[in-house]
Amino acid sequence: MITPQKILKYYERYRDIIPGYDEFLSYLLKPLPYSIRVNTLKISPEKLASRMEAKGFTLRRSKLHPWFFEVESMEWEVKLGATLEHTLGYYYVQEIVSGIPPIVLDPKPWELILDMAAAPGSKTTQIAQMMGCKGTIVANDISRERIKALKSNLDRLGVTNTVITICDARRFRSNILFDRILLDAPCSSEATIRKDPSLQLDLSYRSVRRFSKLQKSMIERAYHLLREDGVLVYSVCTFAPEECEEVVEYALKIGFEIEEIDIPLEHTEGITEWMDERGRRYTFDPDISKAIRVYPHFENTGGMFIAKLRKV
Amino acid sequence: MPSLERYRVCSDEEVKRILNFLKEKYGLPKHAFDGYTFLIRGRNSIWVFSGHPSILEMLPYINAAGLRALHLSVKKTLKPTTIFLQVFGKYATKNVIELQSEDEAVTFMGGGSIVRKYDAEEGFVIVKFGGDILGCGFYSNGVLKSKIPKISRIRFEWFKE
Repeated sequence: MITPQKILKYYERYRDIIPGYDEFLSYLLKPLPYSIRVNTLKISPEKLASRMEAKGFTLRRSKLHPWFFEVESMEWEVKLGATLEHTLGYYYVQEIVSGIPPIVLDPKPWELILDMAAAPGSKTTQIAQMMGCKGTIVANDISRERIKALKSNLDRLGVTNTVITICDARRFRSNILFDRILLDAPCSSEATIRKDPSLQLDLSYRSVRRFSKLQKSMIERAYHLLREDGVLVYSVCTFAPEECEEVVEYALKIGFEIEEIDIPLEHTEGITEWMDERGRRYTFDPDISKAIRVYPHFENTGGMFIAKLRKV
Repeated sequence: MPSLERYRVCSDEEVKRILNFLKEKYGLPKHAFDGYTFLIRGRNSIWVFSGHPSILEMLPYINAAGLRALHLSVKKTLKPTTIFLQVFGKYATKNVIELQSEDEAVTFMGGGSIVRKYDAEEGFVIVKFGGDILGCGFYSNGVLKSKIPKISRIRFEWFKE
């Protein structure tokens, strides 16, 4: 079991870059409120909300998007994944911040989309909803076990326009280029500690550096799979600049441009300067401030880093 | 990595047979499938896909495409899947069984059977409750058997107060 002392020690390296750091720490120790996304392929948000409220759930519409609701209370001790409405695919239990990358990706019907690390499919199914199941999504993942969860979620939500592929994204081959790519990359997941208090925190930050290397090779592969002028959204649920700004800086070097992001949740800009726990100083391209960081204490959510990149 | 069974796009003749079956058995109108491609995988599995079918030729490592829609049973009858009916069942006019109480719906979704005479032909039927399409059942001799796959079944204790 992870102790609050370990949490305090682990996140100390971010003291200078996270505004309201003490409040940030206090939120890390609080459990994450539940939230859901209505599956508009099957039901309207109003109809689902009134059904759930009749069952004793109190919902509040999220500021992020009309499809998202925060679950304020549940009258009976039933899991959100154990209702008839869930079984019938009327909603998906999804963190609010996890809904941001697809909104930034902004997929359009009839486009060809690649979700490079798709399982278990919260973002894939959201993309399918945004496209009204018109156009094509290729949902890839490396793990056969996780693909099972992805398939089961696509089935439950009634998504018809997705092809699932199993492949190491760094070696993904295709004879066609994609209009938009979502790279919600594997990461140290530091920002998911509220959802998963058993998260392994490695005080040597070795995994942060290992993931950074992996993310750079995935972003490089994404560049080759994207059509000219196509959009890549890069997201990670971590605060580590090695996995956030440093990866985006690498993306700028290989030919991407970064664009502004506008979302209705409080956030900060990507950082442009940082010193790590070993005293090593980093300076990033000033354009990287166009990326965004969402922190748990801003809107009582998880955390997320998102950058919108265009292949030029 | 084991090789995956490949998908192939149904021929015009096969599509015609599938659409005729869905129309005759369930009253599903052909236009409900405009914009969808039917695919065949293996010898007995039909899938419905609304993406661009040419993508299937352009990608390696395909695990699945669209939704599994119909399955040819050993008795050579076509069984619609629950996930397929949950998407397209709303257009059906025939062989639709409407359950009468929440208890029946919970029994059905839990994989159980309901003994009652219904106005439906023997065979695979579409089961509804209220406005919800619950999925596929098998009706024979006054018994409706649930064909809800194990993974989607709900358990009774979920509904205890």
